[in-house]
This record gives sequence, C-alpha cells and structure tokens, in this order.
Amino acid sequence: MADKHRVVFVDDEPRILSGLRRALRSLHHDWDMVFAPGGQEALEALESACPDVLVTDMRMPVVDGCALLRAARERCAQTVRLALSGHADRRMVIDAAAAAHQYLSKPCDTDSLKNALQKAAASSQLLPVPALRAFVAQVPGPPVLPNTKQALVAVLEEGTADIDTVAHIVAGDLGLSAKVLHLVHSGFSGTTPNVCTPQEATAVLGIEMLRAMAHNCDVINVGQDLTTECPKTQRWTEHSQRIAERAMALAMERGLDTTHVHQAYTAGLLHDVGQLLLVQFLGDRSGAIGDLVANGLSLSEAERQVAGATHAQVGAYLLSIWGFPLPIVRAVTCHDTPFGTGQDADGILQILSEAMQASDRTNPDPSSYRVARS
Amino acid sequence: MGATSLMPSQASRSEATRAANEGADPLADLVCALEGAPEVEAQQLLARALHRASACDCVAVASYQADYSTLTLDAVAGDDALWTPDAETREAFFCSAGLTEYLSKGQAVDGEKASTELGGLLTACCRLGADAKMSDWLVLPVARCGHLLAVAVFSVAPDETESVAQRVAPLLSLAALSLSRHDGQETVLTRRHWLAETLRGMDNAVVATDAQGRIMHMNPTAQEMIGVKADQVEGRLIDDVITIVDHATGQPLDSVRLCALPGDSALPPIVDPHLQRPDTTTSPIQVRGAPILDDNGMPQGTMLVLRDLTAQREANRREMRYTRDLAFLSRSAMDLLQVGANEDLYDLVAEGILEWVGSAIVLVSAYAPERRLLITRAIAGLSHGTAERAAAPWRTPLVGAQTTPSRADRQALLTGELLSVTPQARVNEPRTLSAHDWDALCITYRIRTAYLIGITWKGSLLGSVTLLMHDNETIDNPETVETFVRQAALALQRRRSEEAFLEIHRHNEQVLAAIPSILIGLDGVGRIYEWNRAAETLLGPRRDEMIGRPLQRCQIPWDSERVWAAVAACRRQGQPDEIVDVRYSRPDGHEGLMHLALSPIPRVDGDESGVLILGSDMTARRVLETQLAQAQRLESIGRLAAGIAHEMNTPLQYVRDNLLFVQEAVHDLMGGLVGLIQDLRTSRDVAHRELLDTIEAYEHEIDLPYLRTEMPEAITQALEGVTRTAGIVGAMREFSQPASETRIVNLGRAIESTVAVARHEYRYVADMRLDLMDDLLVSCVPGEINQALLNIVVNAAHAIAERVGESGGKGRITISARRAGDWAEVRVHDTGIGIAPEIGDKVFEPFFTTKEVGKGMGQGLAMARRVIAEQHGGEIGFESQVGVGTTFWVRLPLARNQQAPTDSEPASTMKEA
Repeated sequence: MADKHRVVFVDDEPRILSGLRRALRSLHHDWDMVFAPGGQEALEALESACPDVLVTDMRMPVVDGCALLRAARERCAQTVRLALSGHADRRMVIDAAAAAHQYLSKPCDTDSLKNALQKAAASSQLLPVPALRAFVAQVPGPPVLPNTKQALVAVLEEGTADIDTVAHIVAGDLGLSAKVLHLVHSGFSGTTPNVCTPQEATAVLGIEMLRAMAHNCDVINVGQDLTTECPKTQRWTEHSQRIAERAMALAMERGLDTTHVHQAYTAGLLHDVGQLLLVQFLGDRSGAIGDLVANGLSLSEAERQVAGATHAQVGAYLLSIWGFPLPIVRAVTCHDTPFGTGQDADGILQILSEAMQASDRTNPDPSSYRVARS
Repeated sequence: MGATSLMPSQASRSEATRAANEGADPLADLVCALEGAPEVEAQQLLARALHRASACDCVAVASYQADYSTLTLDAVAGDDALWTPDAETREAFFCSAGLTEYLSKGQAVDGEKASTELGGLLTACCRLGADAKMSDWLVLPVARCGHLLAVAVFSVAPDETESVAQRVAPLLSLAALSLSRHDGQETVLTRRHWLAETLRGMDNAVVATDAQGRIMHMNPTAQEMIGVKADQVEGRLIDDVITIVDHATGQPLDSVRLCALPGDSALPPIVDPHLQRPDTTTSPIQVRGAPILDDNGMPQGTMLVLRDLTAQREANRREMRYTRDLAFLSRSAMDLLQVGANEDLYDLVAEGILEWVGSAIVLVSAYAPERRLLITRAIAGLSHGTAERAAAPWRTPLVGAQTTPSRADRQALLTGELLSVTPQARVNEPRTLSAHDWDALCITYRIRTAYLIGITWKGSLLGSVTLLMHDNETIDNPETVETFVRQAALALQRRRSEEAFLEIHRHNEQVLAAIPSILIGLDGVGRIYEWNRAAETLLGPRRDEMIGRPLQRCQIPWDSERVWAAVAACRRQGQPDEIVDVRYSRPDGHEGLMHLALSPIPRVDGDESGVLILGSDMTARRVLETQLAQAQRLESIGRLAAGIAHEMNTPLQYVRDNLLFVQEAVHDLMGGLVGLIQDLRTSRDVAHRELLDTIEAYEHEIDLPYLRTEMPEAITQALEGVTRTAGIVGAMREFSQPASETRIVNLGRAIESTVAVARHEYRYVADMRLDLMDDLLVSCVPGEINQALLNIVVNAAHAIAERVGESGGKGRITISARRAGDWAEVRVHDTGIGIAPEIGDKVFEPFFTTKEVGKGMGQGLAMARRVIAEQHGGEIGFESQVGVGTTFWVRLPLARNQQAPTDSEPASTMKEA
C-alpha cells in the first residue's frame, strides 16, 4: 500500500469521474485513486493525505479548480497539479498557469492521462530532496529578473506593443523563456504548434496572453534575489542560447526529424535552468557552492554538498512535472554526468553533451551562477 | 400803298385831331346825314361832304349799277361851272369789267390812266375839264366787301392826289357803309351790342377803344385781369389804365394800343409782355389787337385782346417738368434696373438724385436689419477736387459710416416720405457721421436744410437717402425724388433678391455638385433634365451627353430593368420609393452597389409626373457592413464554438473513458470466458458435462462467436467516432478563435481545421486531398486567415457543384501548403467550372458574383483578398481554365524565425520534415 501512488481526480460531473475510474481501472494495482465530486470534497481528500498527483476540472461550483490548485500548492507542495478542462477561456487558462503544472484538454485520451500520471509520479525520483521538490513544485517557474518583468510590463502597457518586441524581451531572460515554453508545451496555449524557440512560443501565445501573464502576479516568479546576480544571469541566458543553437544545429546535421531538432534545442536552452532555482532556493547559501568549486570540487559535487542535489536534478524535476518530453528530461538530468548513461535512445543527451563541449572549447569558462564569496 | 389802308401814321392822326379840334366832325355829320337821306340826296350829301373834306374844286359821285355795269352820275358838288349835272340828262356810262373789279377793290384810279376805261363818264368829265383849270382827275371807289357801290370823281391838282385820297378815305368808308345798309346789313349799333354780348363770355380780356384810345368797352375778364371796374375806366384813355411792361427789360410800353397793331411795328418786339396792375403785380400776358374799322375800312377804334398767360405758363412749366421728370425717371429706372451686377447701385442712386435735385449733397445708406445699422454706401455732390477734399475737415470716410437709428427714426423712415429736417435736428442720417464731422460738413457746405427719405420696400427699410441742401435751397420737385427713391427701392430690392436668388442658385449648384449622391431628374416623359457630378463620376456618362435624353434609351451601366421598373412604379403610384443594392459598374470597371430613392415630382400641367432619382453609392458602406457583420459573426461563432466545445468535451470525455473501459472489460471478459469454457470442454467431469451443455446451448443462443468478433469492432468504431467528433470539436474551436490578435499559427493545422469545418460544404460534391507541410508557421490573426481559407474552399466547392450539377458526380479539391522562399504558399485546386478570362480580377471585388441573385453577395473572395493582401501582407491570385478548373493560390509571409536561413542555421536540412 505504501508503494502505491496516490491521485485525486476532481470534477463536478460525476460521469466524468466514473468514466475515469472505469478507464483507469488497469491502474488500480499501482495507484490509489480518489474521485472527488467537487472542490470541497477534494480539499477534504487533500487534508487526509497529500496525493502524488491532483487532476482537477477548472470550472466547478463553490470551490473551483483555481482555488483548489492554489490550496493544493500551499498544503501539498510536492503534489503534481494537473488541470483537466474543456475550457479555453484565456483568463481561466492564465489562472491555471499560475497554479497548475500541466493543462490537459478534455477530451483527454486515457493513454495520455496515464502517461502524464506515470511521469508525474516518477518525477520525485529525479530529485531526492523533498524540500527542493516542494520548492520547485510551488514556484510558478524559474525566477525571472525583476528588470525583465518591468520591461515586459512597460512594453505591454503601450497599446501598440508588437509581438517581436515582447518576444525579444522574453528571449533575453532564461526564466521567462522557460515559462513561455512551459505554457506552450504543457497545454496552456490550447493548441500545440510545432515551435521551439522562446520567440516563437511568445508569438504563439500572443500579446493578449502575455499581457494577462504579466498582470497575474502568480504566473511569473520574480526573483528579487537575482538582482545582484543580474550580469551573471544574463550570461547564463546567453550561454544557454548558444548551446541550444549549437544543439539544434547538431541535431539537424544528424538528420533528426523536426520534433527531435526542437527537443535538442529545448534541452540545450533549459539544461542549466536548475541553477536559477537553486540560487533562489539557497539564497545566501548559494555562495557556498562557488566557494567549494573554487576549492577544486566539481560543480555537481559542490551542489550536492550544499543543497543535497545538483542543478541538473532540479532542472530535470521541473521539466518533468511540467510534462516535457522524456528525452529532454533525461538529457537535462544527465548533462553534468557525461557519458554516464546508456539510455540515450534519442541521442538528445549525446547532442547536448557535444554542444556543451564545443561551447567549452570556444568559451573555456562556462558561465555559472555561483558567486564566490570572496 | 393804297389810299384806303389805315396807316398808323402821324399825319393822319394829326389830321383827325385837327378835324376834331375844328368842332365839327364831318364824318359824324355825314353819318347822321346819310342815316335818313334818300338815295339821291345821300349822294348829294356825300358829294358835298367829299367836296368839303377834299377841298377839291369839283366832286362828282356816280352810283354803280352792278346789273348793267354802268355808272350813273348822281351828284356834283363844288364848282358848278365846271360841271353842272343835268338831272334829266343824267347819263349812264358803261364801266368795263376790268375797271369794275379794280374799283371794287377800293383802288384809286387817276383819270389819265383810267380815261379809256371810264368811258363816257370820263369823257364827260374831260369835257368839263377842258374848261377847268385843273388838269387831272381822281376816281375813288365807294366799295364795301368787294362790291362796288359808287365812284367819286375828284378834280385835283396833280400833286395833291394822294393827300386828297387820304383825306376822304374815312368818308368813303362811311359812305360805303351807309350806302350798303339798304342791303339789309345790321346797323352799327346792333353790331356793337352783339359784340359786347359776345365779348362778355370770353375768358380773354377784351378792351375796346375808340379811335382816340378811350376805353369804350371792357369785358368782365378784362376787369378782373386788370383789376378795375368798367364804369370807372370807360372813357379814359387806355394808356392810363393799362400798363404793359416788357418783362425782359422792365420798361413799360408807350402805347398799349400799338400792341395790337400787327405786322412791322416800328417798336422793337416785346419778348415777354407782362401786365402790370395798379397794385404793381404783374402777369405774363399775350396781347393781340385789331383795329375797329367802319364799313369804309376807316379805323373807328381798337380792339385789344389780353390773355393772361400765368396759368398757361404754369401749365406749360408743369408740362415740361412732367415731361422732363418722365424722361428722367424712365431713364433712371432703366439705369437702375439694368445696372450691372458689378456696378454700385448705391452710387447710381446717389448720382441720379443729385442729377435731379441739382445742387445738394446726397448720401445713400443701406440698412442692415440684423444689426440695425444704416451704413453709408454712396455719396454724391461733394466736390472731388483735391483742394477742397484736402480742406475737408472731417477725417472719417463718409462712405461706410454707420449709425443705429432709433426705433422712432426707423418708423419715420418707413413712411417713405420725404422728411425735411434741419441739420441741427440731426435726425437719423446725420448720425452716420461723427458729430464733429457732421458739423464740419454742414459748415463747409453751408448746409441749412436736410431732407431724409427712407428707401422702403413693402414695409421694410432697405436704406435711406439724405439730401443736404446748400444755403436756402429747397427741393421743388419732391414727388419726383420720392418716385425716384421708390424706383431705387425697387432696384435695391431686385438687386437683393437677385443676389439672394443667385446666392441660392450658386448654393444649389454647389450643393448639387458637392453631394456625393447621384441626382437624376426625369421629366414627365422620362427625359433626363438633371444629371449631377456624382452621376458623372459614378455612372460614367457626362452631363451634356445625358440631358434631354430619355432615360430608358440610355446605356447606363446599372441594373436598368430594375431601375426603370421602379421609375415606372413611382410615377404610376405617385409615391416615393426606394430600391436597394442596385448593382452597377463604375467607369473604372469596379462593381458597386447603389441605393436609389425615387420621388415623384407632381406636375401641374400634365398627367405624367416627373421623377427625381437620388442615388448613393453604398459599396463602401456595404463592404464595411458586411465586414462588421462578418467580424461580429466570427466573434459570436467563436464564443458559441467555445461553449459548444466545452459542452461536448465533457460527455466526450466520459463516453470515451467508458468505451475504453468497456473495450478492456470485453477483452478481459471474453478472453477469460472463452478460456474457461475451453477448459470446461476438455474436462472429463460429468457434472461439468452437463454444465457445458447448458453453456453451449446459451453460447449458441447468443451466437458467441459473432459477439466475440463484433463486440470489439463495435467498440473500436465507437471510439473512432468519438475521436473524430473530438477532432471536429477541436477544429471548430481552433477555427473560430475569437481572439483578434496576431499570433503565430501552424498553417497546416489551420488548413486542417478549416477543412474539417468546411466538410459539409464540399463532401457531397468533391473529395478533399490535403498535401500539407507541417511546420509552416505564419504570423497572422488566426480567425481571419481561417475565414479567408474557408471562403476559398467554399468557393471551390461551389465551382465544382456548378459543374457537376445534378449529375451526382464528384469533383476534387486539392489543397497543398509548402514553402516558397520566404512565403508559405497554399494552393487550392478545384475541378470546377473555371473562371472566364474576361472576369479576371473582378472575382476579388466586393459584390461581384456569378451566382444567382440572392445566393450570395459576392463577399467571400473579396474578404479573402482583403484579409490576405491588405491585412497580412500576403498575395492572392488564381489560375483558371474554363471547364477544367481553377487554382487559387495564397502566399503568406512566413513568421520571421522561419524566414531566410540565418548565418548560423543551415535551413536547408530543416525543410526536410
């Protein structure tokens, strides 16, 4: 029983619940499934025990999906939160984006749902530190530079803001890029067009969506602590972009299909996103990592000593609970332990590693977030 | 000079005076004598009187018998020795016709000359004469009115012939009168009475005097005219009573009587005689006169006829003035009414009045009722000499000066009468000048009197005229001035009306030209009489081509049948009518829609009424309306679709979940069940045998093998249906995205969802084939692009439907999407009827349609072009072959990130998807 994963399904339409129960009957060996016919019942279920995964409808009477998701975020931080809705109303989507990790559209086929549940349940294994898991699952995304948020709001305040300008701002910030890609890849944009760069993702979302995002405080995680790290953070962004482009080029050289080319790019761009989260998580303690590295420790080792996990684990966990494709998650997980894996069926990890090496050669001092407390 | 003529000579007068002074008037005596004397005695008396008067030696009188043209010697006086007439032997002497005529005229004949003619008489005389000392004879006729009564023969000395003739002339006249009385003529008295009676009634003054100039008679008119009583003046000398002066010189005439004398008077002619009365008043008169002659032509007095010319002169003057006025007024009227548009009417008025009045200053002002101002517009009569002008002490320009007349002043002006005011009173007009200037003006020009007259028209004040008179001059012809001002009022009013009319006309013209609406006027028989600029612009034909032509026969590029039917209906019913969305093609070839409003124009004289057609081009508005309607429709469809999607997605979710469950359950159930039955079959257990029979019987009953194959398939198909439904719902939601913002969309996906939505439009007439590249990202407003693509697809379906018709055959629509350079190119190929080459790009025009009326407004492709070319910077076009098919192509710029490969990215490999 203790091995069983726990999931809570919430919907005000009982037939949805019974349909799910029947369709997911095959999971009952591994999963402890709770079906709550409303937000209130779901809250009670959360009170009794935090599930691994919460799947909730958005529009419900009394306690709606948003309220439930927010309550879950506070009460059961490590729970992976999925919205399952037939609505594409922008305001609701943005509210969901603030509190849910993924957005599944009804009708959602059972395999996708099962897949999402399995991945979510497995995510915790990527990051063995519960406190870190809780932190990553609680924040809406990697921290964004306050400057970026200000610039974004300023541009969107103008009535004539054009999407290119907005996309440029987005792409200039790794945290915001990650969040935009999250919205596009995790079902929030409704459609899932075949895009990969943050610029494209921004254009797919559209100005109105970005404006709604900027105005909802919960959607963007503004990293107030990052202010002092600003120049470094920008260098991370540039570094990540270089590696992403390099990875993309490599993928194309190898004749991979569009999907994998995009995966290579995404993996390259987001491989260090865990560093942002770690810096925010550790706060002042992040300097210790730099000190350890300065003393000759490897980066992974230093991170492990200070935080209990590497930035690769943190990043992989985030991408995993966001529902990013497995090859990306895997590549990000292993990128700091080169050649340590034999599971790289897609070759994305290989490409990422090569891209990083090439980057190391051209730029021997790969930028890192660690600030030595000299 | 004849002896009988009465000569106003000094000599005869003195002679008469002398005779009078002798105490005896031989003439009067003679008359008295003759009154009662028998004929022969009368002759005797006459002879004696002649003898005495002539102082001749011998005088013989012979009477003339006209019947025989003979003279009979009746009496001889004087020297009997010379000739003693023998009464018994009185002889008659023949008097020739020529001599008779000669004598009848009163001509004197001297003996020598007449000797032959006088025949026996003269022979007798001559016989006598032989013994006389006298050597000559004078024969004088006694004649009256051309009738010879008698002759008198005088023995005279040759040098005395004339004087004798003169001396006896009055006697002969009286004698003639006396001798003739027996012929039944009136007596002198009778005649006098008659004369007096006649004269009494005359309106001319008649004064009769005797030969001495004493007033004998004066008719009442004369008494009145001269101012005297007849009884006071009769018997007085006329020159004492009547004084006639020469008006030109003021000199009185010496003798009034002489005025009466006709002909070559020795006095200088009197140019303008005036009668001066005792009270020194004078009157112009005409003097005529005639001598009063007795039967012998002797002057007995004078008859003076005086005619008072005052009235006539006045009448004449009035007549003249009237004529002049008339000429002036008619001329000025012509001037005023024919004044050119650019001439200043006020100047003309001022100058006209000045011309008429003569010496004055004339100010003409216009009244501006809305401001209650009199504004001086013209001035005449002020010297324009520079010197005087320079000396003019006022500074305000007189023309243009303004004043506000009080209510009372306006009222006074409105009477339209000439008001005389003193400048000091400063009524109204003077206030057009400053007080200072006015004073200066009055002083400089010695203004003592001012006249003011309002220029009024039908009770409203148009302006005013001010006349400023120099010194003490006055207007002596106020009526004319008033008439003139009335004319001026008429002209001003006319000018104002004309200007107003012209203004209205211009305004109307401008309105007609400026209104964007078509204005076509049709008369009672359908001919065009108005065709404004908008009609030229929108319909093509020029105004001068159309005016006067019947509308029905004009080639106007619009739906003529419909228009004409509406015109006919409008005329027939006499009711305004409207027809909307009338198709027409503009001169530039574009198709348009027009809204026509028809109004009947009732005609008084004919039974057919005209029609006014007012048309507006509604194309742009209709485009906007349809765009707006389309946008609204898209938005509401989007909202609806989102709602429907949600409503459908929920049941779809649990339908699928349940189906999946059933699928799994059936699989498990069937697999397990069949396995169990199989186990049972292989069992040797008898008890099982029995059970198996039951099971097999049931198995047979429910046809288990059939269920085993059909149930999973049924479930699979049900799941397929759910999947397709979910796909359509998703496509619908994606297709009708309500957001109007620009986003990046996957063109292939957009086409797929569009095709899914349009499926119903084409599925019965065409198969759909898609050949779509997957990663075509374009930046666009998804809802609009989807709509544009839908319109093209629907158009293709319609083209095919038109071709396959009712045959039931199917065409094919092929949609491909691929990269073409920096463009994403979509080609929609259909196997429809094709587009005729002459239609060309018109297919993209709003409201162009080849479909039947009512089947569509031809908006689809126009909308597609607007969205693609105008709003997304794309291109749209088509290739077509009639009867084979059409390919519409659309090019949209690829999203920037996908465009031309950048330096770092080898894009060539990326295309391989």
